[in-house]
Amino acid sequence: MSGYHKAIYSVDSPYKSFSLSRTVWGFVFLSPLLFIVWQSIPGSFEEVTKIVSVLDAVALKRFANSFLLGVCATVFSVLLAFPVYLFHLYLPVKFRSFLFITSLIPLSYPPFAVASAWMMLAFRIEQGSTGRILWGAHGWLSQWLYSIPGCAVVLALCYWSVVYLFLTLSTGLTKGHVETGQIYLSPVQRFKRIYFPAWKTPLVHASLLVFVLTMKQFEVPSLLQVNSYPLEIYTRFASLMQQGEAMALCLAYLFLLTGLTWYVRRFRLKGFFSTSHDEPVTLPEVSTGRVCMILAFFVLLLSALTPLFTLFSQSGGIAMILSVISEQTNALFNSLLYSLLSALCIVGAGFWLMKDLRDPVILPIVLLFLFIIPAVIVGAGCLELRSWIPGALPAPLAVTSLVFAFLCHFGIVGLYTGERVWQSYGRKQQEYDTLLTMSLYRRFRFLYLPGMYNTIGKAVGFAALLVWGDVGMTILLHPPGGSTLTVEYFNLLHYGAENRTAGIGLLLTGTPFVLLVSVNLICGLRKQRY
Amino acid sequence: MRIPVTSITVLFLALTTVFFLTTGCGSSNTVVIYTSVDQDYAEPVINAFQSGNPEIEVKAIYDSEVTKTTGLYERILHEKRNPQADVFWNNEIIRTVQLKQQDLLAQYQSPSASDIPSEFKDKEGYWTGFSARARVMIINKDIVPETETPSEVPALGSPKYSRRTGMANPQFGTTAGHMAALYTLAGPQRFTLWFSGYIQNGLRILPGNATVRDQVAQGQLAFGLTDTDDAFAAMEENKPVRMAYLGQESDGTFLIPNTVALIKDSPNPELGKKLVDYLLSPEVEEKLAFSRGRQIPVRAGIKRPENLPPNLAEIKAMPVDYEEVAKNLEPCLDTIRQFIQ
Repeated sequence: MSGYHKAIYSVDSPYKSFSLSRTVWGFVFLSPLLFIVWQSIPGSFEEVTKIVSVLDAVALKRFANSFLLGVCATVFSVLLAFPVYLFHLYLPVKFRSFLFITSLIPLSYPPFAVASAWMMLAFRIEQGSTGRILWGAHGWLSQWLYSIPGCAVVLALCYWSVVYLFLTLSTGLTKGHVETGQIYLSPVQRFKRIYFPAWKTPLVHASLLVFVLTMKQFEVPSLLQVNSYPLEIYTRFASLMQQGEAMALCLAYLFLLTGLTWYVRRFRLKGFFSTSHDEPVTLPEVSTGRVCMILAFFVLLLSALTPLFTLFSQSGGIAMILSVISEQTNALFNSLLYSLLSALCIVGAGFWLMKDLRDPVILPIVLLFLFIIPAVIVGAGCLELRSWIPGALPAPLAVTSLVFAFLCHFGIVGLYTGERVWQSYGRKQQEYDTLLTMSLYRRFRFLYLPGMYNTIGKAVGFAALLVWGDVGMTILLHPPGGSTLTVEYFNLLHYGAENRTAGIGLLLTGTPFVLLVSVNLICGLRKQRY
Repeated sequence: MRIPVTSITVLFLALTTVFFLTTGCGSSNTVVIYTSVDQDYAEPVINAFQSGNPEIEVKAIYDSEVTKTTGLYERILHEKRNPQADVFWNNEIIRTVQLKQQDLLAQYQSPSASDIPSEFKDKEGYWTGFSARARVMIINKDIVPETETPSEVPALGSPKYSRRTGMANPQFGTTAGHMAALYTLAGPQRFTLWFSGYIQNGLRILPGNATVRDQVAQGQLAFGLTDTDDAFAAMEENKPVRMAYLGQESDGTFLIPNTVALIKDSPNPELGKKLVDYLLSPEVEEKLAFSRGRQIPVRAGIKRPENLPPNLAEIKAMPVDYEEVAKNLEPCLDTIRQFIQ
C-alpha cells in the first residue's frame, strides 16, 4: 500500500485499521482494571443482586458529599480565576508572563499540603489572643474549615489556576473583536455577543477538569473530616474487603463521566497549547481594571503565598528545614524520579496513541474513569499483574511497575495533550508528511517535535505534579527504600510532629515551586506574547 | 556513515530488559519485611538485627497513616501469587488474623517466643504477639477533674460526655479493632445501641488517633479514645493530659499486641525465621518499651520505664478471642457505617 493510500485509510477509518499503539495501550490501560473486575465478579446470582443494591444510604450520602464538593469547588475556582484573568487582560503584555507563571504556583502545590497549611493556620489564629476573642470559644474558623464549604474553598485555592489557564490559552478572543465591541456595543451587549461566547468553551472544559480533580480527591476530604465518595470506595475495597462492592460503586463515576464527557465534547476547544498568532488582547484601562488588580493580588496572596509562609513559620526556621532536607534526601530523590519518569511515559504514550486516533469517544471516558477511581484500585490491579512475574522482583522492575501504574491512572493527561497537539498540527499536514520518503522516526524528530517542545514541557509538568502528590499508588508498589515525600509526610502527620511535618510540607510545596520558576526562566517563557 | 539507530535501540532495549530481570535475582541473603509499625520505632530494631547479622540484607517497606495501615495488607493480598515479603510485622493483630484466615501465612513457632504468654500466640502457630498497646481514654486534666474519669467505653453515651469526646475513624486501624472487640463482647444489638448513643451524644469522629490526642491536648475536646503510645507521647511532651485504662472494673481493656508472622511461600523463609526470632526476643521488647511509643512488654521481667505497668497482667484485659474479633470486624463495620455518614 502506498504512503498516500495509507494516509487516507488511517484518516478515514481510524478504528478499522490495525494500530500497534492502540493495541499496546489498550492492554496498558485496561489490564489492571480487568484484573480487578475479574477478581471482583461474584460467583452466584445472590451476590449479583447484592451488588445491585450496593448504593445504600451511606454510599449515596457520600456520593452527594463529593458531588457537592465538586460543584462548589468548581464554582469557587471560576470566581477566583475571573478577577485574575480580567487583570491579565488589563495588564500590559510585557508583564503578563510574570502573572502567568505566578498563577501556576498554586497548581504546583499538592492539595493535601495546602489543606494541612490551612489547618495549621486556623489553629494558630484560634489560639492567638485576638483569635480567641473572635473564634476561640466556639472554634468557628475550624468548624467552617472542617466542612464541605471549607474543603471546597481549599480545593478551589489549589485549582483556580486551571480555569485561568484555559481562559488565557484558548478563548479565541481577538483584538479585533474587542475593539469593534468597544466602539459599537454597550457593555451588556459586549458581554453577550463577544465575551461570553469566547469564554464559554474554555470554561466548560476547565470546569470539567476541576470537577473531576475534586471528585477524585481522597486525602483533602480525609484531612478536613469530610466523608467523601473515594473514602467510601476505599473503605469497601481495603477495610471491608468487599472488592465487588467497591467496583460497583466506581460504576457511578462511569455514568457521571459518560454524561459529562458527552456534554463537554460538544464544545470544541480551539487552539489550546498553541501559540496564538493574533495580536494579544488588551482591555482599555478603567476603574474595573484597578478592582481586578486588587482582587487578583488577594487571590494570589491566599493561594500562592499563604501556604508557603504558613509552612515556613510552622517549621520553626532554616535549621529545621535543612535538617528535614538532609533526612529526606532519599525520599526527595524518589519523588523526583517517579514524577519525571512517569510524566515522560504518560505524555509519550498519549502522543503515540493519539497520532493515529481521530475523535476518540470511548477512550477518554475509560481513561477519565481510571483517573477518577481511587488509586488503590488501579494499584491493586497492577499488583495483581506484577505478581505474574516469577521470582523476587528487582528494584528497577518494581519502579517500572509503579510507573506503569501511574501511566494507567494519569493516562488521560497524555491523551488530551496528544489529541490537542495533533489537532493543532493539522490532519492535512500529517497527510503531506506521510508522502515524504522519511521514516516515522525522522518525521517525528525533524518535523513534529520542534513545534511541540513547549506543549510537551507543559504536559510533562502537569503530569509530574499529579504523580508528585500521589501516595496511595506509591505505598502499594514502591520497592524497599523507595518511599516518597508524600508518604513520609503522612507518616509524620500521624505523629503530630508539627515542625518536621511542616518542614516536609514546605519541601513538598517548595520543590515544585522552585522547579517551576527555574524551568520557566530557562525556557524563556517570559518571551511569549499573550 | 549511517548510524543504525534501529539496531542500537533494539540492542539497548534487550540489554535493559536483561538488566531489569536479573538485577537483584539470586541474592539468597536478602530478607524482605513489610511492617506497619511506625518507621521511627521499627527502623532502629531492624538496623540492630542488621548489625548483628551483617551477612543478611534486610529490606523494609513501611505503611502509612493515610491508607489507615491497610496498604501493606493489600500488598500481601494481591501479591499472593508471588509473595515478595518474607515477614509481616504488624502493629496490631486483627489484620494479621485476617491474613491467616485467608491462608496467606506460614506456620512457625519461634523458640524466642517460648516465654510469651499463650494468649498472645496463635494456637496453630501462624502468628505471635509481643509489645502491646492498650486502648485508653486520654483526658485533658485542665478541663476535667480526677473524679470525672469514665470507667468504661459504654459510659460515653452519658450526657456528661456530650460533645466533649472524640474518637478516630472507627472504620480503620486500632479503633476498628476496638469496636469489633466491643461488638464481639456485647453482641450486635447492645453494640448498635451503644454506638448510636455515642453518635447522638455528639461523639466527634476524627481522622486518626494522633488527631484525637492533639485535640484533647489543645483543649478542643475533654476526652478521647486513643492508644497508649499516643497518650504517652503527649505526656512526654508535658501536654496537660492524663490517661485511664477503661473497663478495669468491668469488661477489661482491649489490648493490641504487635504481631509478627511468616508469609506463606515467601522467597527466603529461613532468613525470615531468623528475623522473626530476633523480633520476638526480649531485647526487642525492651527497645520498644523505651521507644517514644512506650509499648508494653507482654513478658514480665523486661526492663521498662517507670510509667509503664511492671506487669501486663496488672491491666485487666478484655477477654476476647482475636479470631472471633477478626471474624466480627466486617459486620461491626457495617453497623458503624450506618451511623457515620
